[in-house]
Amino acid sequence: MTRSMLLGAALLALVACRPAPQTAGHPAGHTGHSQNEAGTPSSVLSVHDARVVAVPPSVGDTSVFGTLHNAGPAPLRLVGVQTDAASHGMLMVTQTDPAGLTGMQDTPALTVPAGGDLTLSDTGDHLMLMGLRAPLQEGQTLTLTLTDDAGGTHTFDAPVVKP
Amino acid sequence: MTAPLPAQAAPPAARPWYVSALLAVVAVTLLLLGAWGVARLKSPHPFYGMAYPAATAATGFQGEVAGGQRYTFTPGQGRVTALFFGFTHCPNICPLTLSYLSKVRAALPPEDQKRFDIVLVSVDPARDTPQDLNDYVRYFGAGRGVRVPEPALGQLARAYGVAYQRAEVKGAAYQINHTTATYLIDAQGHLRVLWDYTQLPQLDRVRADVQHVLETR
Repeated sequence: MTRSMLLGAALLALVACRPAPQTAGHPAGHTGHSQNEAGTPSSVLSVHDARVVAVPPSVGDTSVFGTLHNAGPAPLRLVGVQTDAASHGMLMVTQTDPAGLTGMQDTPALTVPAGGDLTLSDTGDHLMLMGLRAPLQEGQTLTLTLTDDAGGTHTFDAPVVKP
Repeated sequence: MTAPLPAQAAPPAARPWYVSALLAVVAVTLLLLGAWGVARLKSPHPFYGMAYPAATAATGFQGEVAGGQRYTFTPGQGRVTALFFGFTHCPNICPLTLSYLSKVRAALPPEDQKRFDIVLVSVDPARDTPQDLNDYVRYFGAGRGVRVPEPALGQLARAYGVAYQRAEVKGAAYQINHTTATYLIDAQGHLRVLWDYTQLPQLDRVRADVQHVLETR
């Protein structure tokens, strides 16, 4: 019986021969701290692998990508982003319509799920920095501040990198 | 005293179920491998992107490039071209497309790099000057940025199945929503394959497509 069970298991393994799911490795770099209105760190939000897309001097806007992690028990609703390096920041979603046209649209809020991640990427949600005050230099670091709907702020650093 | 009965031959043991099942799996696997082998023989390179039907002619065009030069794109002429449509106020997809294609080009053998061009046609000729396009393309990689004025741009886009549309963004300059494919044109001037933007990060597979097209003169 044991032998037939073993063979049965081998058979199952042969039929359902799928690579084992990869466990997502967390990027080493992680910056960021949060503050509530009283100014005490709440550290509910952490930012991993944040990066600002380097653009040539003739381009005045750029994107910010990375992964936002919410360690808290409730969803975190982000309603704004700002940095000294740009006149204003915007929250964006990427949409593709039925005709196959892809573009970005501003959105009033981006939500980081409780105990989960929100990935900011070229094909999905992301942050935009509009009206850069000076041409970006590869390797420089920008400090950005996200605001949540309760008035809490979450500040993090992001290097400027060429894609 | 009776003679002992001759020993009865034991009935042949039935083949256990799992052996039959294993044999069936082996048979099906062999059949599938055979079918895959035949398919591979018929089409030696399974394209990663979406392949075009044989002898689909690519459309040429004229436009302006940096330095006030006229530029004429004549498909083929012994060169392989990756062509895509974008604009310099594009925050994500256009820089990354240029970056991916440039990395693909850099991964080709040097003699192949000399025959492989990357061309960006602006879908925002109202804002993109030839100089802006040139700076943009050079910044994110290697290639040529071309401004094709309307109405020629509209006709060119239709020929490639490209769509683009102005989209207002609150509190910012307008954007252009557009289709995001990259088109690969071979040395004979035929459209061979298109990659959707989401496929480009698979650099090795894109490069294999390019290399195959470079080799089929």
